Order: sequence, then structure tokens, then C-alpha cells
Amino acid sequence: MALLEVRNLRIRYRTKKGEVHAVDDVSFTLERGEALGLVGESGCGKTTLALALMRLLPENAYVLGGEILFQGRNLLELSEEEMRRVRWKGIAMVFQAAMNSLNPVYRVGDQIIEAIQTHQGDAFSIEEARKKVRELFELVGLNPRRMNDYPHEYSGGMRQRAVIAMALACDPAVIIADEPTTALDVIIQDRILRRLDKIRAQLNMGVIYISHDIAVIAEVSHKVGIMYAGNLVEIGPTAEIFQNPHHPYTAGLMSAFPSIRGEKRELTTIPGEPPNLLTPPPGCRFHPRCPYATAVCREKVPPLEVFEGEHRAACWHPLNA
Amino acid sequence: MTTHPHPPTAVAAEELVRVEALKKYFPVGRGFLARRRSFVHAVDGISFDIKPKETFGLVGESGCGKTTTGKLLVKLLDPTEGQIWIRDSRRLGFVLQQDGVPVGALSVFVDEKGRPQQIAQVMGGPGAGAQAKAGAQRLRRQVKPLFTQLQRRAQALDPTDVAGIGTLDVELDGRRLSLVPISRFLEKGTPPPPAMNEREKADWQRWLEALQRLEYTDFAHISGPHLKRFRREVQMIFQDPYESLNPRMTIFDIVAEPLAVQHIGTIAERELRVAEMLEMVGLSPPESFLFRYPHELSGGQRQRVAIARAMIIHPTFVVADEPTSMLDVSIRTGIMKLMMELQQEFRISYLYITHDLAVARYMCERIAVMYLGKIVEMGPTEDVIQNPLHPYTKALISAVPIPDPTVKREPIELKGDVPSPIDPPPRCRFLDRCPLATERCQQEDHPPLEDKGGGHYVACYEV
Repeated sequence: MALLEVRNLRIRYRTKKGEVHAVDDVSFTLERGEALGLVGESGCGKTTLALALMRLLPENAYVLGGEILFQGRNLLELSEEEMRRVRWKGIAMVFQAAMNSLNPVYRVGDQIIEAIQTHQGDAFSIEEARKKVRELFELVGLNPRRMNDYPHEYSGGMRQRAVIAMALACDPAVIIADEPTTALDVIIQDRILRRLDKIRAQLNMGVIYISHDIAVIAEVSHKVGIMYAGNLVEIGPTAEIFQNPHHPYTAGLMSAFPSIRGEKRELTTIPGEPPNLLTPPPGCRFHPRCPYATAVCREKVPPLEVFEGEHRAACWHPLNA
Repeated sequence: MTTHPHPPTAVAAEELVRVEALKKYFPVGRGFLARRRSFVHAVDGISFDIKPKETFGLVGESGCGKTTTGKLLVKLLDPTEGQIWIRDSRRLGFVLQQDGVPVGALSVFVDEKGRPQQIAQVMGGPGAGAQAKAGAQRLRRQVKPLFTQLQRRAQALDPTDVAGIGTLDVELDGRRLSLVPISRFLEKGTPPPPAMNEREKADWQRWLEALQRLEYTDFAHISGPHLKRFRREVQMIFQDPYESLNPRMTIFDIVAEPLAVQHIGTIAERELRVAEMLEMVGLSPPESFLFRYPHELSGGQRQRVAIARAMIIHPTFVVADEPTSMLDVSIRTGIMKLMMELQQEFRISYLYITHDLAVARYMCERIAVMYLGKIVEMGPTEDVIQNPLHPYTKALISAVPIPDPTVKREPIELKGDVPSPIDPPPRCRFLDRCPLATERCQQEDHPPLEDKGGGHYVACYEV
């Protein structure tokens, strides 16, 4: 049984202009100790998906269909009370720009203690919680003596580590990191990603990295899922996705990314823009921008098909198939 | 003190922009009556040059001073010290030579087509003595007939003649002289004639520098009508396409604004020009964009509008501060390519500011790596990235993630974090974190930039 399994998840947002098809028919698994990278551009649904896993979707969003199986239980069927026990203790999340959402008037250590006591309740006395915070600080690479500082006394990188410590406070089995290092300088980014990877291995946690930066994803993920316009269009082992992409969008994304190594080559553009999800195009949502689109692409949604082993793609005319 | 990368004996023939010993310090006060003030050394004495039609990258982490440098170069900020020279496209300079020896120089104002309109400046030949002064005075008296001959030559030129006026042989007071365009004069190399003594050599250097001033404006110190004129040459593209466009103006108003401010064209002419420009930046058909508002456009489209606005008055130099970092990846490459196409079309130079080394590799011919207000390494992009010499550059490059899972990257660990930019000690800014630091690095001032070959400069005592 997989640690986390998402099956045919569909999520919609109700807006004044109609319903936004934010996530459509997404399925994937995550094992203990595995790092899954979700890549996609703005509006592709990756953050919505992450919020759904935590059942933290906003008021106007709803799950139209599908299942989220965490350790065998469908999270969508739990009551709010039961879900509260899963949140932070089973699955925790580091939100986008979380380092900016630390409460500025409370000491950093105290904020983490609060998180521990809220979710572990009576199990932790203040002293035990403080000890736990010191351990967490060591784990994420912060000096425990700075527990009593305020967020403004920390650098951006330190605040990000503090937020990661907070997410780890209740020993979750899964951590979702949404753009964990965007807005951080590259040297700090490197340090934090390596630290997070070490923690993953040490605690045998499942990690979902969400990012638009395929270079970061390439380095930290075992498995990569590419999202486009609410669909999971390709998923597979990292090396295979990068060396042998089957979906034209994946291939386009790879060749639009400059790298400091390798031959200096011409970058390609993907013409057009992602579709409006109020009225997504029929059939394959990528067809308006796809150089290989034919009639079937415009009419029927391609299913996620298996290619080699764990490598799947949803395309009527896959590349290198 | 950073020595200039181009010591005067090797004056470069044609630079578009030259920055010299630029500094920007921000006071950090402890109240109005503070006894001694502290300063943030945001930009701490940097020098570099940008050639015509070149993309020069400024890279570094946050706080290194690259954004401040960009603002200084478009005069959103005034420098604390230093000079910023820009080639003034309105002025053309000539050296007056007699039997191959320079005896004076002059510059003229030219119109858009390069035709001389009037004399701008006149100066004498090299030397500070009475003879040189007399020569300068004589030249001033005789400059009108010289100018007339220049004008005549310019009129006779075929408008498609790219070479322009070129060298002109003239007669003055019975002397046979030649007027050589400054760029051509400098191209041939300008070592001091061997017969000179030390003092004469120094005079020669000074004269060469003064020569350059004939065609360049130091815009660090201009204001008023000169500033307005300057804004025709230099423009900026900002990072945030959501903040840099006035939400209450239509796309037409936004793109036409520079034309309006500079009083260029009638309304009808402006409409035409804006439509052309929108077409050029890929917003097609232009009519469907002219009267929309920014909020109706996507981030990528907005950035194209920002580019159209920057380009509409045909600047020669554009500062671009992270123009693509807030855009999606598949949109980014479109914008980068657009910038490169426009560069070819309008012969523009870019100062491209970015923290993303992969983007810098793609866009820039040369880059400078900044750290704590200083340039620590500079040179052809591929050289600097594939063969970094400064320990900071090496660490920076080793930290960049690579979108290829088969490549194993070896990150270089640096101790500590970037130190405070407030009142830094005069020694090497990188000392506290440097794996190579020695006694010498402790004692001496921040090392000067030195050419290690092929235009690859490093500021380090241990390389």
C-alpha cells in the first residue's frame, strides 16, 4: 500500500464567471522516503492539488470527484475533527512564501512550540516542546540559541528553515513543499534543498516538491509529474522524464530552460498561452499550442498511458514512443 | 580602489557606456543629531564598459548592488562618486592632424542623419605649455571654415553611406591638415610617440581622455534639459510587469508617453508609431491592444508593453532589471528572444541584471559578478561561467541547479553568510568566507581587478 495515493482527483472553483476546472483527473502515488516533484507553470493546478491534500482549499473550491488515500484512508471522507488529526501530524505543508508568513510579533521558537502544543496537545509539556524545538533547529540547520529571536532578526534563508522546522514539528509522514526556495539566493537555495533531502532520507519521509523550476526538481526528485492546465500530462522516474519525454509539453518545457552546463543551444518557445480554465479547450488541453495536434486531439482527452515501467504520458501522438 | 580595466594607454575605440569608480552610499542614521554617520556601501567603486550592440550582464545575489547600479545608470539615483559616460549620438568628434601629428580636436552637433549642424567644442593639441594653448586659440579662430568644409562633405554623402563622413583633408592658413574621426583615430591604437619624456606622456594621456569627452557625456552630473535629452538615449525595463504599468492608462497611452514627453510627432504619427511598435513586440493585431488596460493582459503581454514603451524612442542603451524572473518559463524565452531581435533591429546595448546565471549565459556576451558592492570577476560570459577564477564565483556557479539528472554537481561550501554592507573595512569584501584567504588578504585593501588574459578580469590576490 502506497503511503499516499491520489486517484482521479477533480477540483473546481466556483467564481462569478463560472466554474474553473482547476484540477482534472489527476492520479499518482507517493511512497515512504520518496521525493515526487510536481512541475508546472502558473495556473496548472499544482498548488490547488497541494491544498486539497491538506483539505485546506478555500471556501469557493470543492472536490468534484476522486480519492486521496493516506495510509489507506480516504481523507475526503474524514470529518473535520478527524482531518485535524491528520493535518500537520500525518501530512504537513510548507506554503509558498511561507517565510513571509511567520508572525512578526512572536518569537520564532514560540511559534513552533504553539504548533506542537496545538497538534500534540497534552502529550507535550512546555519543557518537552522546547526540547523538541531545539532538536528541530538542529535538524534544519538553525542555531538553537536563536530560538528566542523574532522573525525580522532572521535572514530569508533562516526564516525558510524555521518554517520547515514548523512543518516537521509533529513528525509528519509526508511533507509538501510548495516553491520552497523561490525568492532565495542560489547559494542558500542549494543549502536548504540539500538539507531537506537529508531530512527526507533520515526520517524516511515522503516529500512532494512543487516548483516551476525544473532544474531544482531535477536535482531533488526521484519521480517527476508534469502538470498542465489542471491535468497531469506526464509522470515517471526523473532521469527518464528528462532524457526521454513523451509529451510535447514536457519536451517544450525542457528545451525552454537555459542551463549553465552543456552546450549553449538555442532556447525554444512554446507559442501561445495556457488556456482559460473556465472554458478549457475540448479534448487535450494542450492541443491549441501543440505542433503535432490532429483531429483526435481536439476531440478526445488522452488517457495517462503506461510506456516504460513507471513512465506514463497522456498524449495521442507521444514523442519517442 | 578598483583600477580601471582599460588603462588609458589602451583606450577602447568605441564604447557606448563607460562607468568609472562608481559609488553609491546610503546613510544609515541613528537620528538627526548622530555624531558619526554610517553608510551602506551599496555600490562601492565599480568600473566597466559596455560596447554598442552588446548585452552586458550584471549578476550576483541579493544585496550585491546590481539593482542599485541599474538605477544609477538610468538616473533613478544619483551617484555618491564616480562617472557614467555615455556616447552622445548627437556629437561627432574629429582630431585635427598635421603631418600625422595631432594639433587639435573639435566636435560638432549632428542631426539624426549624421549631418553637422553646428560646432560643439574645440580643443587644442596635447600638451599644457604655451605652444599648445596658442594652437588651441588659433584653432578656435579658424574653426568656421573647417566646419563649412565638413558640412559640404556631409551633404555630398550618399545617405546610405554607412561609413559616414570619414577622414577629410582640409587646407587652413596654407597648411595641409586632415580631420580624422575620433573613432578612427583611436582604432589605430594610441601609444604615446616614443620621443616623449615622462611629463609629455602624461600630457598625452590627459589629452586622450579629454578627446573622449568630446563625444561622451558624463551623465552622473547632468540635470534639467540635458537630463531630458539623456532620457532619449537610456531607458529601463523593470522586473515586475504588474507594477511598472500605470493601471489607469490605456496601452496606447503607456507606450506613447515617451513620445509625448519628448514632444515627438503629432497624435496621428504617434498612433502609427505605437501600432508599429506593438506589432514588433508581438502584440498583434495592435488595434486590439491599443485601448485595453494593463489588467486585461497577462504578465508576458504586459512585459511586452513595457518593452515597447522602452524602445519607442529608439534608445541606444536599455537597462533591464530581471525582466523575466516573474514570468513563467515558457513565456520567458519569448521575451528574451524579443529583446535580442530588437537589439539587432535598433542597435541597442543592454545592461542585463539578473541573479539567474543560466539566463545570463544565454543573453549576455560579457558578465560582471558583483559581491557586496564590488565587481569580483568580469569577462566573456562563457569564460567566467565555465572557468571561474574568483572563489566567490566558483561557489556561486557550483550552487546553480542543473536541469539534467545525469549531471552530478559538487557544490562548494562557503562558511557564513553575506556580511553587512554597512561601513565595511577596506580589505577584501570576501575575506571572512574565502577558502583561500591569506595574511596578505587581511592586510591589504580590496584587490583591484586584473586581466588574466582574454579580457577575463578577477579581483583576488590568490589567483
